[in-house]
This record gives sequence, structure tokens and C-alpha cells, in this order.
Amino acid sequence: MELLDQLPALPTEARVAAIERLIRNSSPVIRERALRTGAAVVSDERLESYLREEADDVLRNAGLEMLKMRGPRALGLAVRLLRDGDPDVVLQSVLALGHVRDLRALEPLRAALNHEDQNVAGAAIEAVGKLGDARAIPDLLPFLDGDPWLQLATIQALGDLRSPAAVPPLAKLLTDLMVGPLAAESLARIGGGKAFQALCRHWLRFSAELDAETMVGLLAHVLEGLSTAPRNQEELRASLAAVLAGNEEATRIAAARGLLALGPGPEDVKALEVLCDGPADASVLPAALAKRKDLVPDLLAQPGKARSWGFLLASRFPRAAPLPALAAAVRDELPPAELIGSIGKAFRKIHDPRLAAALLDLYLEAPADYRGALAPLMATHRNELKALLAERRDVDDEARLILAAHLGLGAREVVAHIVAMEPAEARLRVLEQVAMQEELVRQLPWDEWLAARPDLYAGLAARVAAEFSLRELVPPLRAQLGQRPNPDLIRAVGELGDRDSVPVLLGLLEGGAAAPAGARNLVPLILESLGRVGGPEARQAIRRAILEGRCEPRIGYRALSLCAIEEDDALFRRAVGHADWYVRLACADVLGRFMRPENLAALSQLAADPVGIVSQRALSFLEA
Amino acid sequence: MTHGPVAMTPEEHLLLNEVIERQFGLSFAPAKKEFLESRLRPRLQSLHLRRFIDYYLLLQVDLDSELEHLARLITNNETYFFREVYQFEGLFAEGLGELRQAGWSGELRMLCAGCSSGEEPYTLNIYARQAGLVGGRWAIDAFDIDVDRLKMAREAIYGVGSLRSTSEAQRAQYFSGFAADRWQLRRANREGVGFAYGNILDLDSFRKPQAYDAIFCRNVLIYFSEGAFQHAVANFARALRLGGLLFLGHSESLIGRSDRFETVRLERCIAYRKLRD
Repeated sequence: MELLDQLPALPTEARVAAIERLIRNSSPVIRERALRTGAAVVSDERLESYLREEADDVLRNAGLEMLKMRGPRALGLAVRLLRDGDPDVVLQSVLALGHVRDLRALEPLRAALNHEDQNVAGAAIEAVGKLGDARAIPDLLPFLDGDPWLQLATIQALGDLRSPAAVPPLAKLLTDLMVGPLAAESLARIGGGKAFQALCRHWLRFSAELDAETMVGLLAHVLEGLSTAPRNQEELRASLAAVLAGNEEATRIAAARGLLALGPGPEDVKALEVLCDGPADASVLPAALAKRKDLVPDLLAQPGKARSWGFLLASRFPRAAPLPALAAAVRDELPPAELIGSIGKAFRKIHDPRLAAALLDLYLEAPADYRGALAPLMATHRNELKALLAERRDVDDEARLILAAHLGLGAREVVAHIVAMEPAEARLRVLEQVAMQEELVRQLPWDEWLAARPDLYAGLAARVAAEFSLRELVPPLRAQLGQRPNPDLIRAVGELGDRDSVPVLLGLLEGGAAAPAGARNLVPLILESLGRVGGPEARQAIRRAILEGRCEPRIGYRALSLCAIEEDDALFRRAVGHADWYVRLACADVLGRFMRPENLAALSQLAADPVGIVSQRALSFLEA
Repeated sequence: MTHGPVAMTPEEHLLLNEVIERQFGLSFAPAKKEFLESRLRPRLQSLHLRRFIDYYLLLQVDLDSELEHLARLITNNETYFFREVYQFEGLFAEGLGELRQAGWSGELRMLCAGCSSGEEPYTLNIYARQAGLVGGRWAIDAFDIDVDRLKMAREAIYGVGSLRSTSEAQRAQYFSGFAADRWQLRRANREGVGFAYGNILDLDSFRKPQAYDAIFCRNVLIYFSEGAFQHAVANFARALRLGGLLFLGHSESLIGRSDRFETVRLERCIAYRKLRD
């Protein structure tokens, strides 16, 4: 690992030599990093020599991996090597081209299909499949009748090409004991009506001899992808119903998916039960239900996953959702936040007082911090809710005003009500609920309130100041910051980039005993705000906090990355081997900003980082 | 005009996932980034936070008071009465025999881990009442990290969804009508069940001085990372008496994953018997 960390500082030749040693390391992490670094720094000539290596398998394999890791940049070298006299070298370049998946490689690969070496030809067939251009099908079909190795490669490639034209030749192979299962998988990947018919016939004829989990899974997959469910499938239904009643969970789930995708049937209730008890995600409508608008009422009547799917389905087919079912579902339980958008989509197309009443009940019963999320939903029934509010006597004044604000009551009118509201605590409760409306927020007398009751209003005033850039509030907020520091105030001065707050923040950070109680716990937020404000004093303070170990390294480095200048890059270069991935990410961000040779070398090391987000960030800078 | 938080970045997702996994054992893979984002977004709006990193930083300075909100946002509360009752039947049929062989006598102490709004412990209670335990002595503790759900559990008022597997006869026998499409579990069926806040990853939050004879933790660990799963299983082992039984959901298996337990095949289900701490 030490050698790996020294890589960026080594001269090129020494670096390549080090990489050649590190690719033999017993640690997969070190090997991976060495390969990534090699992909970035090893020359084409050197890489070609690796691919030609006959005695050293490790080096040859490393050459292939580096070529793959180069992505589209590998194209030129790989295409050139397709014409090489050494079949092993040609094979490596074919494998790399298949990995890179660049359509520019299609013509060169077609030429390699008839290579005299069968390994090369097989790899070329698979690589052509991976390119995904169906025009290559006629080139591939002859291999279905030839050598078994090339036959397998062709079946795989035809599936990859996903063209209906490949269905008939693949269907003929389903009964072949050796290649049948692979042909079935390829047919399922192609999908469509013809593939379904072929798989269905095969299943019904040989179900007793086939692996049920695989075949029913493939059938369900194809059925889910059809634009309309196939008709007259009683035999298949009966067969899947028998599987549904079995013991094997994965097979039962596949059968449930298949049955539901086939359209309405007597097994729907059981199939839904199986699907709900399975691992499917509540926030994603299963493909098997995507066309089942007839199931909307049943799904809405159930809780949890089924109801979530009911809302998702209703958003696709709003007219299929009966109002009583929709209203009851909304009233029954607070919908998870991820479904609000889908529910809103369904509700926007349905206008009825019953639904509005259900929405109002939902809103009134929701926890205060969730009501803001419901605001878009309420807006879908603005007029109905306004009428309803005028009638309902069970809504208290605070809730009534909040709702009126959400439903479009003029900002001036809402402000007048809020200002007149007593006591101040009640006013604050209302403000918390409406403070996301900029027009309204800007008309409120924050100055007066802050002067009168800073203890009460400073937090919310800081939040709205940060959110809507209310710079006029900065002086009174800054005054509060020194006396009663809290997360909102600290965040606000950072968001607003208030340089005059830096001494106050420094006092909180470094004031020791002089700092107000609790300031120490706020160090992460203080550093973040110093980073956002920036400037020499802020930078120096953050650097000190990092170097003296007075903060979590990830918090310190992140904060410094927000305001770093070129002279900070040495600190970040020294941290590229830090144990915390978030520190290394900050290093990539800063070093990518200042592209000096030594920073490029450090970025090369980060490009080999085992954490994907770090290596991708570093690579993006290197590629730019 | 209203503002809202900007989209969650991949690094913000990783940072928040680290906190959630450490605190609750739950893990949201990159493919679930949008899901996590939509769950957390209302909280950010409520706090007027513009970015998810701001929420991460807030968790760094005030984790204790924010944990409750976070738990409510990220947990999955899918449960209903009489769900997968074969495990309850298994406990009160052959399971008791297994426990007796391990030296159990007297009060049967049971724990429901991740009880959500109470449907599972209450169903267990109904089965315990029917089992005719000698002396009628049993106790059920139930815990969850979502305090709102615990409040619902104590109120024991449920909608149609919670009763979706409850027959008309069961509804009439165990519940009384509360409001339109709302039923309350009768008092007799609530007695003997205690609810408290607890975190599966924090043994001290749910362990009592006297060890449990049986623990039910069903369809909760399925959302856990492997590390958190192992941590949870170790906690259950410490909370169970020697020879005590652990029941997991049908998608969650201990086979080959823990040497603290051995598999016990009951007639209609399997359970895991504690071998050692």
C-alpha cells in the first residue's frame, strides 16, 4: 500500500515498474488500484507488449484489464491489434472491444467473425452481440449450425441483439438439451409476442422436465414486457396456478407475476398476496401490475405495499380509481412521502368534494413536519378545499389560516392575519407552516419580531433568511449568533456568505471557555459556514482545525474544499491516501480545480480509488 | 414562489446511508437513492434546509434529537393482524416442548422486535391466550424505533388494512367498532403486551434483566446490511435464554450465518435455538 501511495511522485518509468509489481499483489484492492493507475499512465506500446506477453499470464491479463478500463480511449489500439498475426493478441483486443461497446468497432469485429482461431471467432460473435446492432444478425446465423462453442456464443449474441428476427432460429433450439436453456434466456431477453409464444409452447409441453423457477421467471419477464396481454391462455393460466400453489418462494413469485401480467383471472387475489409478501419494493410499481387498471380498487383497499402500488397505478389510470376507494385509502393511513407525487398525479385529474374532504382529513391528522409535503397534494383540489373550509366548523383558526395560505389566499391578507395573531407562540406555529412561501415571507416584519423576541424568532428568521436570501436580516441575526449560537443562525450566515460573521464564527470555534455553552457541539456547522463564506481568516481557521485534530477530518476537509485556493493543494495532496473516502473525495474536488503536474499525479492515484465515487470524480477531472 | 431542497447528490446519499446503517442497520443501496431522497425531503423542507449535506451536518451536531424523526422517515411499517401465524402456532405447539427440554418453566417471556403499530405482538397475545398456558402466565414486550407507530400500538385502533387477514368472526371476537372503518382491539387482548422504544442494534435499549424465551423479529432484518444483520442476531442471542427460540421472517435465514443458533424444525415452520451468547 505504501508503494501505491508513492506512485504519483515517481518518475514515469519507475511508476510503470511499480505498477507491474503491484498487479501481482495478493490484495485485490491494491491490484485494482494498480490496474486503474496503469490504464491511465501506461503507454500504448507498453500495453501492447503486455498483451503479447507469452510467459507471464499476470502481465497479459493486466494488459487486457487496463485496455478495458480505458473505455472508448482503447478503441484505436484495440482495432489495430485485430489485424495482428498472434491470435492471442487478437483475442485480447476482441474482448476489450466487446467490453467498450463502441459501434465504431462493428465493422472491424465483423471481419474477425471468421477468424481461423475459434476462440477469437467466438469472442468476436459475443462482442458483436454486445454492440447491439441488429444488422449483424445475418452474419451470425450461420454459426448456429456449426461448432458447439460458436453456437453457444451465437445464441448469447442473438439475445443481446434483442431483435424479433432472431426468434425463429432460437425457438428451434429450445429442445436441444445442451443449448436449450441458453436459447430460452436469449428469447426472454428479446421479448415480444413471438418470443412469448415460443417459450409458452415449450413450457406447456415440457414443464415436468424443465427448471420451473427459471422458465416461469422467463415467461413472466416476457409477459410483463408485452404491450397487451395475450388472449386465450387458459392452459398457461392453469399451469401457472399450479406453480403458485407450490412451496418454492421464488417460483411462486414468478408465477404470480406471470398470472397478473396475463390479465384478470381467478388467481388474482392469491397472486397479489404472494407478490406483496415477496421482496418487491413498495415505491416501484411491479411490471406485472403496470397494465392492470382493473386492480386499482383492490390495491387501494389494502395497506402497505399493495396500497402504494394502488396509488401508483391510479396515477397511470386516474379514471380507473373509484372515488370512494381513493378517498378511503387517503383517509386510512398517511401515504409515504415517496408516493405524494404519484397520488397528486392521480388527484389532479379527479375533482370531487369527497376526495377534497378526504384530503382535508389527511392534512389535519398529519404530523406538523409532514404537512408541508402535502401542500402540492392540497393544491390539486384548491377550489373544492376552499369551499369545504368555508363549511367546516371543526378546523381551528391556526389550521384554517395555514390551509388558506396553501390554497392561494393573497400573501398580503395572510400576513395581516399572522401579524394580528396572539400569542406570539401561536404566530410562530403558523409561521413554521407557511414560511416556505417567499412572497409571504418577504412581507413579514422580521426586524420588529427579532427586536422584541429574539429568543423566539431567531431560529425561523435565520432559516427563511438563508432560504430566500434575505440579507437585510443578517445584522440582527449576526448579533444573536454571538450570544445564542444555534444551527439555524450558523447555517444562515454561511449561506448568505456574510464576511462580517467570520470573527463571530471564529470566536465560537476557537473561543475556548469564552465561547457560549454548546458551541463546541456545533463545530461541524461552524466549519461548514466558514467554508461557505471563505476568505483568508476562514481558511486559516479551518486549516488549523484540521491540522490540530479539532474536527472530524471529513468535516474539516469538506469545509476547506469549499473555499480552498491553490496554496491549499499541498494539504489535499498529502491526504489522498486518507482512510476516509469523503476526505479523498474532497481531495479530488480541490486537486481537480488546480491542475498542476503534481496535482495530476495525485489525481491519477485517486482515479484508482476503490470507492467508485472518488475514482469517478478524479477521472472526470483527468479526462477534462 | 416556494423553494425546496435540491436533488440529493451521490456523495450525500453515501454519507446519509452511512449514518442510517450505523444507527438502524438499514441500508439504502445506490439504486434506492431516489427512494431515500423522497423519504427525507419533507424533513428537509420542514427544517428549511437547501441541501442534503446540510441535513447530514445537522445529524453530526444533534443526532440524539433528530434520530426519532429519521427513524420515522425511513422505516417500513407494513404489518397486519394474523400475518404468517404458522410461526405463532409453531411456538405454542411443538415450540413449548422444545423450550421445556431446555429447562423452561413458569412465565413465558416473549419479545417482538420491530413491532411497528402492534399488530404482530397483539396477534401473538391472542395466540398465547388461546394456548392455555399453565397458570396463564406469559408476557410480551414489543419495541420499535418509530415512536409514532408505538403511539398507534398503544391506542390499538386499526383500519381495514391492518385487518385484511382478519375474518369476520375474528373481527367480531377480538375487536370492537371504533368509528367508520376503524376498530379497536378489545382490552382483554391488549393486556399482557408492553410497548417501548428500542433499537435492534442497541441491546441496552430493549434487554431486560430476565432473559426472553422466544423472540420474534419478522420481515425487519431483510432490510439490514450483512454487518447490521450479524449485530442484530448477536443482540438477540444475548437477550434470549439458553435454548430460547428466535423466529425470523420467511425470507430471512440464519442457516450458515450464525454459530450462536441451531435450526429447529417445527411442524409448520423453522425456528432458531440459542446455543450460546
